[in-house]
Amino acid sequence: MNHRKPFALFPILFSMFAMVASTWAAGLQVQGNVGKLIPVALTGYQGEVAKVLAFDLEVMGCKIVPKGDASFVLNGKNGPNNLTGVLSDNAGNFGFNLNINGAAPRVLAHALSNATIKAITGQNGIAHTRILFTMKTAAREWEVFQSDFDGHNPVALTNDKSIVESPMWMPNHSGLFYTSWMTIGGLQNTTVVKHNLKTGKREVFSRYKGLNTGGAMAPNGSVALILSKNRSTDVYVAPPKWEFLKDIKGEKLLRLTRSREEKSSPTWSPDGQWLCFHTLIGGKHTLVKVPAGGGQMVSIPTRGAFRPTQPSWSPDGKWIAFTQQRGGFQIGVVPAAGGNVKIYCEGEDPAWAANSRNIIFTRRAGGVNKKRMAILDVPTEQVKILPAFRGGVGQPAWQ
Amino acid sequence: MQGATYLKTLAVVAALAAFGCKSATTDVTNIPGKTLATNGGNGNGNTGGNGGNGNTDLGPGGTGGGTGGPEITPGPGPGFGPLGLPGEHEIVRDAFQKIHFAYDSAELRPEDLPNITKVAEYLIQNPNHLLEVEGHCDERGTEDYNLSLGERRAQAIAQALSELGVTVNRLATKSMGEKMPVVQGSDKESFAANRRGEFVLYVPLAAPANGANGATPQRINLTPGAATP
Repeated sequence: MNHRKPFALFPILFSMFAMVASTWAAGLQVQGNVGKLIPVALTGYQGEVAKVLAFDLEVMGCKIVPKGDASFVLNGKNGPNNLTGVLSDNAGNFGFNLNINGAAPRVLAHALSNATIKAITGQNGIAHTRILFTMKTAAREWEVFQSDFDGHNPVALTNDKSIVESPMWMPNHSGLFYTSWMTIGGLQNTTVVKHNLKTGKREVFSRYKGLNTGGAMAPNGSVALILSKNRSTDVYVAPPKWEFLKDIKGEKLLRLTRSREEKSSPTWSPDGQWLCFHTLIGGKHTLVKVPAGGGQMVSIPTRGAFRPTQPSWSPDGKWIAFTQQRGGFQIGVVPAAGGNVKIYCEGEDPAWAANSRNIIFTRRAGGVNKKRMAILDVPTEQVKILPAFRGGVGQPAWQ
Repeated sequence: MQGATYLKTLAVVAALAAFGCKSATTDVTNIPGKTLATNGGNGNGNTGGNGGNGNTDLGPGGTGGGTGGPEITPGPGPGFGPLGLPGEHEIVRDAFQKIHFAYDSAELRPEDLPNITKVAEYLIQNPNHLLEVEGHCDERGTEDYNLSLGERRAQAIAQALSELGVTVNRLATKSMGEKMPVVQGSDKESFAANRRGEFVLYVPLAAPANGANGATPQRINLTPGAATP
């Protein structure tokens, strides 16, 4: 895609930031050590590029301040197809000197944001990434959209004029799964759809009688499904390269659970060894995990959380984000092995970014059909609200 | 009958596969004619404006499709198959009273059992009719959870119908989650109205007479307890 075109990257000197970088590169410190916002000044930038740089950097843990208050200064200028940036610290030490070109201004700005974050923190930026989400496009109609991580450049991926939920990326981001209520053979039913983003080709991945949802693909190609084909809503795993039409009775599916209670929101550990999901145990909402090959269901303690649902396992494997329902909805994070939770902000539908520090989520603003997306920076607890869409949005998934 | 059902299902699959599996060459599949814009924020995102429509009609395969595609096993008997209905049906909604549920519950309430019994009696008296049970939720839950809760509500009703003598393969369940509220509102009364099960009746159309292509819908008396002619 065009925002991934190579750009001229002059040598970036990290040595003068070694102390800062080592602190931030030590890993996500969700519990105990609340990260501090990094004061950064932006000078010389105009218009949309200035806004994009500010938004990106604030998403990734910075605070835009006047030059006199900044620890780092990013100075440069932007033209129609060109962007320069010189990064220095408040002592005047040199960080980098970049000249970026060959793409649209927003793309150039995202590239400079990523370079800045890399230089300051040692972590890879996420400003070039994409998200999936659902959007209400008409009365009783929802579609799947893809956009830049900040909600810009949205493109509709479906035009089914039906209900759609739970878009999820394939691990290599070449496609996605989602749950659609499309009509086939005169019958509307939930259907897990596999959608190839390179070709546009779509397949019925699962359409048994009853509920078909899930569609969470593990690194090895197995796909977790939630089905009610056997008259209770249970978690199943389809082996790699499994095809619904060749297994219409589901005999090759691995059934991981056997209980009447609801199950929802399957999410794999990054190594694919565990599948985490939400269910009820003794009537109590609980996050659980099951070995990928089947076995005992293990509760994930979420001390301090009320009605935890919607688990999302962080890409580094250390954390599980979830939705708490106490009055409204709140975003919480718990160590992957379980423990004390930390509740961060109002919101639901959490999904981690690749950097394992940002979480995209939705927040209701005047009703279920008025949800907006927002991004939490976990270490600093800073929340940035994404632009609103005409229709309510839901269930973002981060590339 | 099963052979005909098989052929019909196969034909539907083949048609869908042939129509829906066109490939586009772009990174993303644009939707013709759609234009959406962001409000607020600092930009002006929009959707792609043109592109093929190959994705708008789903091919069920990517597996070869057509008559040379994978073998499909039809659903047992005259009931719901995994890929659709056996034959043409008229869809009738609201023929029966809705069933309501307590907050965050899929337990049937005693006062609803007479209504479920009427549905069961109707189905027993009309053995060619199929019934889909929809489960709905209020908005006080995450979308993911409500999808599962709605299914459990539908399953609870279907289970009761089964216990009253309705053959299981004539019943289908479908969760609508929180997406189709019957009342818009965020008050207790609206929530209560939206936590519900609904019945969707599939009434088979009469077979064409004298080889005519068009089928004339049967006259159906939907008064619970009344049998169709």
